[in-house]
Amino acid sequence: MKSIYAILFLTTLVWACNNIEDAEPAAKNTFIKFYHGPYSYTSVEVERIPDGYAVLGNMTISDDSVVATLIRTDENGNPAGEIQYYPGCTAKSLQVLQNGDQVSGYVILGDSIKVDPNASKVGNILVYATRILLVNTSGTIQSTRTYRDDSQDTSRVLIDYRGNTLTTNENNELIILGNYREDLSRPEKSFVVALDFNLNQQWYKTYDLIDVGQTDYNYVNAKSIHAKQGNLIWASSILKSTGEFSDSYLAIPFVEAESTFKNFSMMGETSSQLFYATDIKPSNGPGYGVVGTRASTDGSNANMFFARVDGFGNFVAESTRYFDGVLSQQNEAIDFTASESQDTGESITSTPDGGFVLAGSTKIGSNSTDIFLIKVNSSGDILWNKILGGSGEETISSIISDSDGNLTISGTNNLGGLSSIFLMKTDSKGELKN
Amino acid sequence: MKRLLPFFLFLFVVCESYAQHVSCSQTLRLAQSTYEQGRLHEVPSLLQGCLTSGFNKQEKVSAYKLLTLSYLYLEEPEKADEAMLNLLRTDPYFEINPAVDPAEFVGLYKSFRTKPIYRVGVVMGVNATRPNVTSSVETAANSESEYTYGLAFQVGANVEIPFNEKITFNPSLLFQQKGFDIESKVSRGTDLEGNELYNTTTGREQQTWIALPVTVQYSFTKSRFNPYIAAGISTDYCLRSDITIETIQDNAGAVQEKTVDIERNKINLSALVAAGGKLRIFGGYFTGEIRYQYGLLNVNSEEKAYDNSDVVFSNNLGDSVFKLNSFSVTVGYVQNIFNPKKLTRRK
Repeated sequence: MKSIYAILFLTTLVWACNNIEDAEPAAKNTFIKFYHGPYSYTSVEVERIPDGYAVLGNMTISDDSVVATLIRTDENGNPAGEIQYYPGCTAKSLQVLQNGDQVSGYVILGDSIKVDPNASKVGNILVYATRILLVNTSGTIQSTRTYRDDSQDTSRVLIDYRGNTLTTNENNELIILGNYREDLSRPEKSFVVALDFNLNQQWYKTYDLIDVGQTDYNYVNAKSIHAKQGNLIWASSILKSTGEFSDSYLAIPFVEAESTFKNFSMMGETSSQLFYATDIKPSNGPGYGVVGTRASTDGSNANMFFARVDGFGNFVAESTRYFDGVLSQQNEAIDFTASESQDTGESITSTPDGGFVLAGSTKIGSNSTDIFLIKVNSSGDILWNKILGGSGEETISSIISDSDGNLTISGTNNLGGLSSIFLMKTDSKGELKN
Repeated sequence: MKRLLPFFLFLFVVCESYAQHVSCSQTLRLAQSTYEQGRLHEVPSLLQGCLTSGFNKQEKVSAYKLLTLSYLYLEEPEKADEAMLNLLRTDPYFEINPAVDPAEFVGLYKSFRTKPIYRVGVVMGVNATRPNVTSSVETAANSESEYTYGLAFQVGANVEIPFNEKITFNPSLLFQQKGFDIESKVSRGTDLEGNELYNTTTGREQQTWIALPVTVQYSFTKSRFNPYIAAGISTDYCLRSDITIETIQDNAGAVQEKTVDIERNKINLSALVAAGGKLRIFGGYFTGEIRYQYGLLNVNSEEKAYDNSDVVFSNNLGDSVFKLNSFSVTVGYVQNIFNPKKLTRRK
């Protein structure tokens, strides 16, 4: 009997948990998770759902085979259920449909690309169509809608439709923003379409720049559109490319639903630069915050920028700030001409304190691209900044904030030619410590 | 002739000291004979010169024993104590033979501290260390990770303080290298041909510690190998820690191997159990011990689980919270240190 006790004692003594999975997960409020697939994953967007997150991405099997990918997770970023794949759709934006506290479905906006190497017209070798998928809570497609040029007339170039982003309005409609191009020689213009939740079209409207007299410029729309009190607002870059140089300025289209422009505030239209607005989000006070990238027309000296716009889409004077991965490390905004790193602004979220967190990337010298986070107050003054990353290329797709100011960030991490999606939840200071 | 002068000088010194030694050996025999004839008063003066210089160690021990006995019978206890003290200083391992030695001599011997007051020496060996995960921090979905033992060496100074025949207090100061391996496998599903794809990350963490283990040894029996068991506690200070890590991705490029510093808590505390033995050799013991060290404190924290962003982003590896357990096998040598003195009896 004594020997049994001795063996038990020794077993207890030398027992150890060697498999990490066998141990209790750390009780942390923050996390970072990577999702790997058989082929490269790229992140598109993260949305909060009642018990976790829905992450939209793409899996690239080959150049002409991209599959929309939906990953649902629990509160700690652990996959909840199987990862869903939707072939024939390159994802662009996600809208979670909720019925009270329950998710009732997902709407995935994307593009479908038809390849015809034998097309008689160059413009018809690749033809883009906008595709909308209505997916139920288990990830099964319930309904689809496609905007494409179905013409059988091979003597003309077919119209390309590309989805940009979507949202919902007070009338329980899906509002979809996209671009269309009638010919490779003609500029890209915007369209907005409203659908009910069964994907039946309610109205369709195109928007071009005839009103502002610049018909040879392209709309490059940011990744968000917002519907409020019958109006729609989004951010665009009005771009003109000439060879290796691009010239663009910022615009905030503010339109009445199914109607025309009510406002079209511009910034940088009288100077020469490359201005890209990539995201616009409502603040916790009045107006919106816009984030993007400003660079020279050859793409060099790129900095992240932030600007405020009011509720009618007017740029707020003196609100524009520029940030650089090197020069802003001491929490200072910089002049747009100063740049020691190649920076981009990719996404923005408002925070409960009235400020914003800007998320983008920075590439310092020969280092790889890293995540670049900047917290600004409501006036755009920088409060803190953070650079995160490893030896691979990390890029941001979206950032959201919860009611406590905690941040959830999705992005893409490329290592050795294979990319994965990451989902990161930090505290309100961008820290992963808590 | 001048060239041969050093040689003759050397020859003279050798001859002189040999002659002196032969002379002192004769003196010892003369003193023994004088003692046996009962002319005790003459013994001290006979031995005095050779005790200062001339006796070898064994002769010196015999001379002091003779001197002690002489003083005992001359009823000069203070001088007998002094002679006994000199005897024990000359040979701390001197042992009485109660069957032969006079009772007075045995009694006097027992009134002295004749045991070593401590032992000091060196110890060296190898350890096998493995983390005991207390809470997991997984960064990659669909992953399986395991820690395995790694071997490293340790060296240090060892002190033994015998309390009595059975119990010995044993503090040490060790320089320890510790290492262990981690392998993490992330399942990426199957490609279009049905092949299972994985990202496999392998890493070796190496740590350098200064350890202060303190154990209490319990000796079972007094034998040739003097077996004992021990238990105690170790307080360790981490000097540095780094991890060498790489990731292999099926059907894609690898993340090249690199070594990065990794932060660990500076102070660690462990419980120790050990078993070993001591073989009497020279003026001390050759020691051998097997020791198990069970970590009581975490060596890292949840708060710092993502601090090393290079490893997190490049290898998709979080820093799970763990304690360190290790086996070690050591050998060493401890030298007995004596300080003989007259024991004072408590009233």
